[in-house]
Amino acid sequence: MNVAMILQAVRTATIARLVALMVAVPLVIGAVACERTDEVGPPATTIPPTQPAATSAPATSVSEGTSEGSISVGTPDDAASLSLEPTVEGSLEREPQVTPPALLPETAEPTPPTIRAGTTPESEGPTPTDTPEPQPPAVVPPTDTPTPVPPTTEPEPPAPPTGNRIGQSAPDFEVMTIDGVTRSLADFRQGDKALVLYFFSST
Amino acid sequence: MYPDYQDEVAFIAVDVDPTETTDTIISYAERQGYPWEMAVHHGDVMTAFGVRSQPSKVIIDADGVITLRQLSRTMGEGNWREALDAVTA
Repeated sequence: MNVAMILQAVRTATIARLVALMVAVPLVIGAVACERTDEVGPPATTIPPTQPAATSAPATSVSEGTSEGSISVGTPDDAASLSLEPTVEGSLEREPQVTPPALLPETAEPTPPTIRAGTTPESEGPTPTDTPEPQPPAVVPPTDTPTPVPPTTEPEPPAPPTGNRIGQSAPDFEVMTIDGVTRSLADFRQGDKALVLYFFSST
Repeated sequence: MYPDYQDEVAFIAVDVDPTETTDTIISYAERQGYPWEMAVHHGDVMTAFGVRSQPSKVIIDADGVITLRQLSRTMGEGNWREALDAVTA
């Protein structure tokens, strides 16, 4: 009976070990998978130090699990939860990182072309038409210059026709004085003087 | 009368007789006491103003316009002054 009891105890111990292994192996695999996923992102650097402890913990728990199998299962769960949390956080961090750049180029790309296409034709259209407009004022100055010319009508009145009658401009003439000097109408009128022509005879 | 207008009016007496010499004209001016300038006969001047005999006179104002033209007639001092005042105002 004792031998049977011993054998049964050994069986139960081996079963417990197998169960512990069955539970620990997937946890270890999950931890490794978490490490691989974390290596891609930035948090991988902070996580590795905690994972070796988690991986080592189940190893120790497996060895120690001979007496307490429930404890070995609990520790890897905590480690896995700790290791999974960063993976979840990393996945959450990556998702927003991926989505924003995907949205930015998509939203930015369609809008700029529409703005460029809209601005360029609008700017090109009005600018050429606006620039030639200032030219018309240049035409105005020439019209102003001829307007001040009319004052030339003032000096026109004094110029009656030349003749020998009253009211007519006296014809130019030349005479020789008894001193032998030849004088003209313009000479007598110097200094804006009036002139008396007196025709006589000594006989 | 001449001194009253000589500053504003020029006077020239033109002989209408082509036979008279310069000496004849000078002696005549001295006898009459003409203080103004005397000129020998010049047919073109008489033709220009339509003068054919003496005494005749033509008054031209400062603008060169004829204001008086009197042919073959004498003119009193009053008429002279009136004519000269018209061109010296």
